[in-house]
Amino acid sequence: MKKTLVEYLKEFFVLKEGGKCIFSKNSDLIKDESLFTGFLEAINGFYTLAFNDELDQIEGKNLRITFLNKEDCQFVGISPMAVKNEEARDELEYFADIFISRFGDELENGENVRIFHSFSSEIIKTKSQYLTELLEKYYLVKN
Amino acid sequence: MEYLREFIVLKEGGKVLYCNSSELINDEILFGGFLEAINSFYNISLKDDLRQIEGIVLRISFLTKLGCQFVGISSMNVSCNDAIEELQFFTNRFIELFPEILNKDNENDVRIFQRFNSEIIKTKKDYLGKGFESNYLSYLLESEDW
Repeated sequence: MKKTLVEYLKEFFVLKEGGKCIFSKNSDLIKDESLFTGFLEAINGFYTLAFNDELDQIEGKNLRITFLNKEDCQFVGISPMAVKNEEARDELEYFADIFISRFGDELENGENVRIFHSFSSEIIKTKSQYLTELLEKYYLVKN
Repeated sequence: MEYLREFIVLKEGGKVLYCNSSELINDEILFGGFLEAINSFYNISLKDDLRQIEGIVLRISFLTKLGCQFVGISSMNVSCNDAIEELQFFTNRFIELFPEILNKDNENDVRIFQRFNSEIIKTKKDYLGKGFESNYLSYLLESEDW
């Protein structure tokens, strides 16, 4: 089976200040996305205030929530504990970089979240599809 | 304690039974409520049991036993195994010293648990010494609580 861009993360979210969710790739795991992202923001706020530290990950018996702060956004990924920590983090970073490169300008205001929905089609691409498209774009620009 | 910076024991509802007072936590009641809130929400939303929260600098480890939640806070410089092992050690020690925590009638007076302060300043080595388990066993047998 060909590997898709998202291989290890079961869910991921892109949050702006105040826990506003601007993009989510949601499976059946989270039933109430707004409540869940609000919860993440609350944990984050409390943890930062209480310990003067930055929240990195939350681990349970079966699941792991990984946090990544980039470009004023918080990228959050949920992966099974069976997946290695490094693999989950690498994939989240990879995903965050693609998201930022695609929506760098729009992220500045982030008011119209519908523009980010198109990213759903990126996620289901295979890695080779994505790389081919990148190469094509590169050659188009070059020529 | 050698690896943990804080050791906290909570009952249902986030009630703090015991918290060794270091400079890390300024408001243990607020902190207990926060831990309870995280735990419940994590449980309900992901149908999973919370084990650990990691930051860049600190790690909060959770252990649930006998209806109580035992929480240890350690530096991220400490290995995860050392932190969890020490948390398990002091959890067992706490349960051995205060079997009454099982008794709901006793849970209102949390002052009795302050006796644990004299335990927490010891390291595992103080208990175990050279002959690890046999020394620990002798310690327990000599202890007044038996």
